[in-house]
Amino acid sequence: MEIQVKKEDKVTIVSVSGKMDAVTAPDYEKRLQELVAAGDKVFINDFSDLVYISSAGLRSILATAKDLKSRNGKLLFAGIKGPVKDVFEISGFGSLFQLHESLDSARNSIG
Amino acid sequence: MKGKHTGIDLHQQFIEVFNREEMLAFFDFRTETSQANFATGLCKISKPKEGTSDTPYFSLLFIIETPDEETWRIVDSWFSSINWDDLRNRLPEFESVLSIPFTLQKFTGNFFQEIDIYVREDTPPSRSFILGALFPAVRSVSGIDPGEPVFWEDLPSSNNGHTIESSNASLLERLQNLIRL
Repeated sequence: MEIQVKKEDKVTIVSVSGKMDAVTAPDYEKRLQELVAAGDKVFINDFSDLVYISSAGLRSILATAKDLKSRNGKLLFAGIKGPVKDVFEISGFGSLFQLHESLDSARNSIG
Repeated sequence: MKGKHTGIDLHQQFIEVFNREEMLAFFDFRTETSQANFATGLCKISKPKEGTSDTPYFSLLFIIETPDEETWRIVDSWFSSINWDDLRNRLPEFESVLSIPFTLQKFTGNFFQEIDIYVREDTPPSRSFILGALFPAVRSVSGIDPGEPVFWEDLPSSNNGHTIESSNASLLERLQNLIRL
């Protein structure tokens, strides 16, 4: 799994590629926690190149979102497709988070 | 002559049901699925949103990491061996249980199973009920080794008259409707 972070004006873009499983999910969570602790509040997770997510990845997302929620922050998702989209939908994440087709759409929703 | 099929999109039906539920808490867990085989997973605890179900229930969605189909089969076999009716002996508020397997056409690398626990109408969706009654009962019946539950919303800490009431279609009712189609 690779994580790339790009800070923009109003938002931090976190691009994750590869597989997010029990081995790699803690890296994602740690990276996000560091950014949240540094004061970043609005995140777009660009999952265009994420090919697999397991329950451990979902748990890391929930833990990060819970932390952000208490700081009035926001976690959005862009580009989710294939099996990752199926997992998000079956897990009910579609009703918990904003899922956008593209990064631009996610950016525009922030305003 | 070819017959006309009326397809039922179960995947879509489940998504619609999830939209009628709200997550209360989640926890991760580890379990021994067979001799020397361990699996890790996530459990989401939800309840129907107000005004969406006639029957009060807690919905437990178990998501377990199964990187290959052999692991999926082992987890499926382990999960099938759990006797959820044992909740009757451990949870006085227990009314009935509905186990809903998610067998998908596409392999996603995860095992999904929903357990809906129907409870008495006066059962509060409180933090103390979940921590003190529901969570230990589920742990005991399933044999999982869970982490500490994390609460998504601020729930009342104890019984204060709130119940998990509702009024339209629960998952059970929706499945009954589907069977009638």
